Amino acid sequence: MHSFVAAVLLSLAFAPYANARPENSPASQPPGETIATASVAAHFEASTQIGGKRGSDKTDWYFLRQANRIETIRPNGGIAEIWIRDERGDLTLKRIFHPDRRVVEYTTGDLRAMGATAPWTALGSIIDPLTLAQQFKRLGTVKIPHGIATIYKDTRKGQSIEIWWLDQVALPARIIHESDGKSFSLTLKSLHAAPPPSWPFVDDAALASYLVIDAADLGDRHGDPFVRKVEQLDAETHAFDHAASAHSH
Amino acid sequence: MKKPFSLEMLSAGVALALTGAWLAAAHAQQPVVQGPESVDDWWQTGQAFIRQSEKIAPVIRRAKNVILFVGDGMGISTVTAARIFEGQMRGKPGEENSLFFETLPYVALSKTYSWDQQTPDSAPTMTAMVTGYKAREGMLSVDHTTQRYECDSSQIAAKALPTILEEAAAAGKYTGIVTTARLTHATPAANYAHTAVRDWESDNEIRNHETAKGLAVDSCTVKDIARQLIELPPAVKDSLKVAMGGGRSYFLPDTTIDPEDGGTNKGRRKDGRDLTAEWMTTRGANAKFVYDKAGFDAADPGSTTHLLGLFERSHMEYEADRTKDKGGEPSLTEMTEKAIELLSKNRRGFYLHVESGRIDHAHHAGNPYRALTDTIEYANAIRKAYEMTDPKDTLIIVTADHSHVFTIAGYPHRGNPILGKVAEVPDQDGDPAGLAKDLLGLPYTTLGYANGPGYTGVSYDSKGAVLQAEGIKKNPHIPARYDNGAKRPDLADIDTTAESFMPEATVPLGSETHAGEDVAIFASGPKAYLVRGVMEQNWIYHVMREAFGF
Repeated sequence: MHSFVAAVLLSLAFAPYANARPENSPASQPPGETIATASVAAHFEASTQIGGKRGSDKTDWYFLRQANRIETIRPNGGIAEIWIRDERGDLTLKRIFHPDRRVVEYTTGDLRAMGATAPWTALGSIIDPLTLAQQFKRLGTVKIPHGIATIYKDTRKGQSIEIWWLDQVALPARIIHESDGKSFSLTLKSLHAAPPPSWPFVDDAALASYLVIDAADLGDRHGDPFVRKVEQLDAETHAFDHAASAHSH
Repeated sequence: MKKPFSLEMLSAGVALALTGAWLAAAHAQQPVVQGPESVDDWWQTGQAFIRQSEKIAPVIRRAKNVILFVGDGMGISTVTAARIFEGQMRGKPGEENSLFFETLPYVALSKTYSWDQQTPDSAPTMTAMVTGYKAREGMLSVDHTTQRYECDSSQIAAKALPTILEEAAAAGKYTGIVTTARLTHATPAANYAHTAVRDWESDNEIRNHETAKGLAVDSCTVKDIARQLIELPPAVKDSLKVAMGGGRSYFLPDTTIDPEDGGTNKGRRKDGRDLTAEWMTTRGANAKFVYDKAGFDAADPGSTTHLLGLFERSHMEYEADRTKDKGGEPSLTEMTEKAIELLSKNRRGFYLHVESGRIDHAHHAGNPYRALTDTIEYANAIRKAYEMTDPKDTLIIVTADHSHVFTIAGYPHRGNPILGKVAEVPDQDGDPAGLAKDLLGLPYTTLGYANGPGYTGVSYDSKGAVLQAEGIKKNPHIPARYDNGAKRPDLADIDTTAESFMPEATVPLGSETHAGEDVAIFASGPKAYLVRGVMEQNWIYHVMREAFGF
């Protein structure tokens, strides 16, 4: 179920808010904090198990991190998201819907009003390092092709999340979320300092021809079929929020 | 009455009567919840109201100036809640407070339906107010015979309805528009633009329409809304001395980096035109374009002839967030003040429209805190306008375009925090006010929504994965579907007064909706006495026209 994959960045970015953590405040020695803004390009594969059937729904998910820009790309869904941090630390989010040639833009004010004031390090690490450090149990380490990963786990309310954390790049190598008989997993397939040319990317020049809708205007566009579609797709991108929220209390 | 009479209550009453000593002791207690008034105060304030009302003399003469204030989405429940919130922020119980515009002498109700909507959007409602005609959903200042998506400029010209702003301009008056939304957004745009589609704010939207409908490029000849603001007919162009709000990107080409936000943020125009530059080149040497607080402060109303202020790429900040803005923004009050200073230079008078545009957005998001703080700032702007003008020559009308499904519920005691949970007057004097409980034994908030993203059932994504568990939802929350069965959350340990708290909603929707009940109209000044009873929304135009004597 690719919804889990698509959800990870955005929803976990929002999840730290539930911790009432001050915006962009330094964490108390969370794992990987110091390098959570270094450039990295990561290719993940997401898969779903429902009722013991492995990999019934696999999808690719690309994560590109630069100092002040984070992109996630779901080629299969034709969806990408771009977070931008300006010199003041203010965040904006563009959600790109390629098949519709549309962009939904969340201004700093929109994000603030939504309570979505995520620390940049959480956005850049997929998992909030502070949440990981403070609320997950450290189980040990495991050697994987990308380095030594630390295994964290938390189980609450019938759900469990296991995270294999790569301190050296401040990213998870594996996330396994189990709930209601379903298991979603996100697995790091390859890791680069910069994205290989063959990877999908967001073409800023092409975006210029897309129609941009301000997120604040969605409520006044109740009759627009695209807006109804966005609400459906938005839901997919937030699928992990429930789990993240449950594990942040 | 909170509870119907029953035999059970009678039995309880008999039992209490038998315990006279206990009852006497209870009566000796002072109520914990008390208003600040003495018994005499109620009488005195009532008498003062009568004396004050008897002194109100209708101003029969023509108006030199007309100011139309519109709170977008400011239904009566929003006015009431904002009134209480403002009072509580001043350390008072709140209920006795009045927002400034509530003290204006004339009040009426406005029926907001449009030609084709029972519950309207902002386009036909503002069209009604500024043209005198009810119109179609999504259309600005064109009559209701206009075809949907009509993009032939000659057809639009044939259907165009003259606005009060255009008529004021023709009469030699100065005109102005101030809003916290985009200047090209439906409410402000209805003053100067004529179009079948409120969303055609830049040429980008029109070109996309052509693509989507398979039309030839540039086959739609109607001008986009931003361009209409710049290319006004000569009399209106000269008359429109001030236009301030958000929406900068709709005026800048898609090759121009935004002057405030920088980075990769650019304009959205496809035609390569910089309409902010054209504002200055077409309005004379003393025209100004400003985009931040410093530029706003530096704009001298005495020496500036035409002032264009575009303080955000899109909508301006909510008042609650305004001080956090990168370039800084003027408040609605400050913009209103500067607009009046500039417009007052004309001895023939002026027409000014002021919109608080983001009350609506906050409600759509299920965010009462920001809706109420924007409403309070709206009231401040109206006070400033009233203080700067003479009620003998300036008609001020204050209203809303439509309501929202925003409710004030339960029996909270006097002074109970309006953003808080309901705590009732205790049954026994001396007892503390405790949280009211529903039939599940759970507390509930005073403010809530009939629909929207705050539905508390388990929500799911489109593939069936749980999105958020049952209970209060955390932003962002845009579900694909819910379980049909909301379980009420336990709010006991939740701070419902937090800025981003999302109250419960009864019907699950991705975005909270407008509401169809009447909104209020408040008025003072010449011909304000014509604001009375239950009015059709388009009659507001006729009052303004009558006041101007057109």
